[in-house]
Amino acid sequence: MKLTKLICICFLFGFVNLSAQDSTNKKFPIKVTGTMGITYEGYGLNVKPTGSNIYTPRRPWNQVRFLFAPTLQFGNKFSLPLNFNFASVATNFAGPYAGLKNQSIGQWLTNPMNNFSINPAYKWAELLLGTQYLKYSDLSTGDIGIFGAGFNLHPGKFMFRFFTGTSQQGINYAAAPPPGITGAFKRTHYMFQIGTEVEGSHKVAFNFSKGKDAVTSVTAPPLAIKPQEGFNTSFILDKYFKKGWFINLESALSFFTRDLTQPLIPGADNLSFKPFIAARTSTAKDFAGQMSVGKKSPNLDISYATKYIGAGYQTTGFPFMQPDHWDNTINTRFNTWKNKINVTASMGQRVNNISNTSLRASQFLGNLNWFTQFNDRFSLNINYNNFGFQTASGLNPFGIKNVSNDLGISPMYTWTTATMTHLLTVSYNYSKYDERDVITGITTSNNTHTALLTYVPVYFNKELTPDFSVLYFTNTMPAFKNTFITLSSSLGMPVAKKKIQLRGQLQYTIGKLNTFTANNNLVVSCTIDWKINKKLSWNSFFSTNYYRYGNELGSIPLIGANYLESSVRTGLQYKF
Amino acid sequence: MKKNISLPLFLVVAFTANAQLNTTLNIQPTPTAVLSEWSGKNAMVTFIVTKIDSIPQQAIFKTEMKLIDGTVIGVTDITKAVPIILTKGTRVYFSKDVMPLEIMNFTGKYKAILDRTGKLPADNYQLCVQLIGQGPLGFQPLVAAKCKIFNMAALQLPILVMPANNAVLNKLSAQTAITFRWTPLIPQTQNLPTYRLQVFEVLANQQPVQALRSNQPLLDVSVKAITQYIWRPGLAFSATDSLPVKFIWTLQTSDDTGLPVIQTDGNGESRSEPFLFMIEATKRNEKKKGAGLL
Repeated sequence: MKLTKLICICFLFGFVNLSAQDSTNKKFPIKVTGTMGITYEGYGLNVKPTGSNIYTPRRPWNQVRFLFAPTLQFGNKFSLPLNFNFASVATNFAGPYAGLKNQSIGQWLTNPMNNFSINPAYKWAELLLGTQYLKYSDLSTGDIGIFGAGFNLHPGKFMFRFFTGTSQQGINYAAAPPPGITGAFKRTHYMFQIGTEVEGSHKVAFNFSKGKDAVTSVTAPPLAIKPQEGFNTSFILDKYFKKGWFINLESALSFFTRDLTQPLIPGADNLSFKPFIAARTSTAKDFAGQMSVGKKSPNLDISYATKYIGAGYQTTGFPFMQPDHWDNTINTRFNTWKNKINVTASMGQRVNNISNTSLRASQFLGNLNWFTQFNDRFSLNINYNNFGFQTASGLNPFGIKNVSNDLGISPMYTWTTATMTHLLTVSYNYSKYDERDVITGITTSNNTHTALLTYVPVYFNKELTPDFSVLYFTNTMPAFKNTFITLSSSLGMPVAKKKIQLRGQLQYTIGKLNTFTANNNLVVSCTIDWKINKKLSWNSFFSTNYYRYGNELGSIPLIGANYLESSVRTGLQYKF
Repeated sequence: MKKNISLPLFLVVAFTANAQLNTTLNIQPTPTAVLSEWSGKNAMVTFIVTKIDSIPQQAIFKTEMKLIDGTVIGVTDITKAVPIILTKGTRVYFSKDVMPLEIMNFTGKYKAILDRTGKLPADNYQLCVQLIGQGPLGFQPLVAAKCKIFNMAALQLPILVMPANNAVLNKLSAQTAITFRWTPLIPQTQNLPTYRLQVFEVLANQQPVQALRSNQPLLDVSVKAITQYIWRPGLAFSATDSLPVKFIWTLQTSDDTGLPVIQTDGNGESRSEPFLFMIEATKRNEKKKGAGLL
């Protein structure tokens, strides 16, 4: 807490200091751009009956977020971007840091909540220090933040990239206090890319990435998570031709050990890639590949894309990648009728579980969005999505069959008088979801209708900006009906010589579940944006959400149970 | 000639009769297809050995994995097996003892599939375990093999369906209700899975997966076996939020004991590949941004 206060004071001092220096630095050969800011978030929740656990908090009670992201430019050749972006309270709920409250310095530095990076660049050379989110390709490494060091070199058309660091520290498992700490092994990454690239022409590169958990990094290992090791190599080829034609290709090979505590297999050279990875009994080697080919132009895009991820293909650079599927899609976009009709569409199939012929699942995907601007007053948007999922029966009498169809129609009408413009939009969506029971074979239909009417008056001579809407939603399936009606309105206006923008929104929903008594929900929010000067602004946002149940939760004391949650967010932002 | 045959036969009978053993094999009816996970779970395979006499005896496990028609697809390399000493009483051995993968030899396409995926294809199999000892004529069975039939389940995590990846939802509709849909865990078994649905807001200056790994979820709800959930967000958005506001959602699938159904895939938490969706004002409002409407 003392550390947080100290950082707050430093930031506030920084604001004052930078504001004071601003006008005197004009002749200094350093140009500073970027932003810095500090934001406080508060949250409150009051549940009745107390302790009923009908609703749980969904934000931290108090949170302070700091941002310091200036870029210092020294002449034309040297730049120094800084990015210090961190928060005072750990709020991890998924991934390796889930449940962790008291962090060591190492854990705090590598916690994905926090970013600390310095990337000095001179001409074609860039040094990478601190937290980096580096994407080398779609199949090698990409969406994981790593704290470490490396470089990007791009002399002429050649490129050499390297980075090594830690994406997570060792975290001991703990069962108490609830919900406990999931725990994690310390994971170290290495990645290297070599190739050539000319923007707009081509890119050819080889990628190598490795991630390895340290088995001894914890004294209380996670219960379910095993220490892992992965090594990937991939080849990418992107080529752009004249008239918009292109081809993107990547093929990749992974060696992945699911459990580093399993014994080594001496002599299993086919599963090893020494010295980077040695085969264990839990090691698998598999392939992945993707390709897209097509043409892009102002009025027509068309492409075919295919992606195969083998059942054993895994990479520590994309820990959430789901293996064992093959996707094929055709995508298009075109404009016609003097650009008054815009259409985007795609159609394809995804085959899941391809390694198991008996349980192979096919998934059809199709969507269409058709927009037509008939004239200055009237436009119409139609969209349709179809999704079908089917598997063989396996051990059950029937296979899984889920089919989802969604149709949306949104006409919009605009008309203008001498003093104002009126905008009227109606949006209707019908969603049908059929699901087959694998034991009885009975298909149940789940139907949802949503209708939304919105009216927005735009005054020419007034600063008021109101809008009004009403929404009807109903979802039905056998023995179940859920209906809501929502009334919503918002109003915005400038005050204090337009230095402060105010906007408030009121939203009331009445809902009914089967034959239970109605539930009620009121959401009120307010935004206050104060532009203190050209560089400094103060943004505040307040919202309250009150929900009162009917008798759907059970008998007394849960009849009329309710909760009130409030949140506030206020922060100063300075633009260099 | 008769003498030559009868002498070894006599030695085998004498060697076997010398070992007074009872064995029992148990195997989970639908074990995971990831064979490397077997060694870490004692409940997966249990082989109970009761030795009646008090003479210590050296033995090794000979384990065979077979198809239902008896075709052997994997067998222990008994020359590399580590011997155990059997003493009077009952002892329980587990998968890591009776089926150490580092000395299991799989055949043909099954070896290729295991090398590539680490899993056996979903099917019915039988596991046979036998205690053998080193006799005067080499390795000899100490007791008859025990076999159990089981169904190998190659689980496939749910795939997120709706909102589709990178879908853009209307702000006013999304403030009232958002429908989430996903495919079920495959194969569907008698033990119903629990799906934990989590939705995270992607804050400014955050990468989507960073938000998933660091933020408190706005929705964190568990549902049993169903593949649809209608969320009433009760959210309000600041007028200065950089619309569209981004969200990332994922699903964690657990078994009836509350543990992730697949523990050794990439994230180790049985979390499905997350999807992004955005909430923004309608195109009409988008056009009016310039007029100061939003």
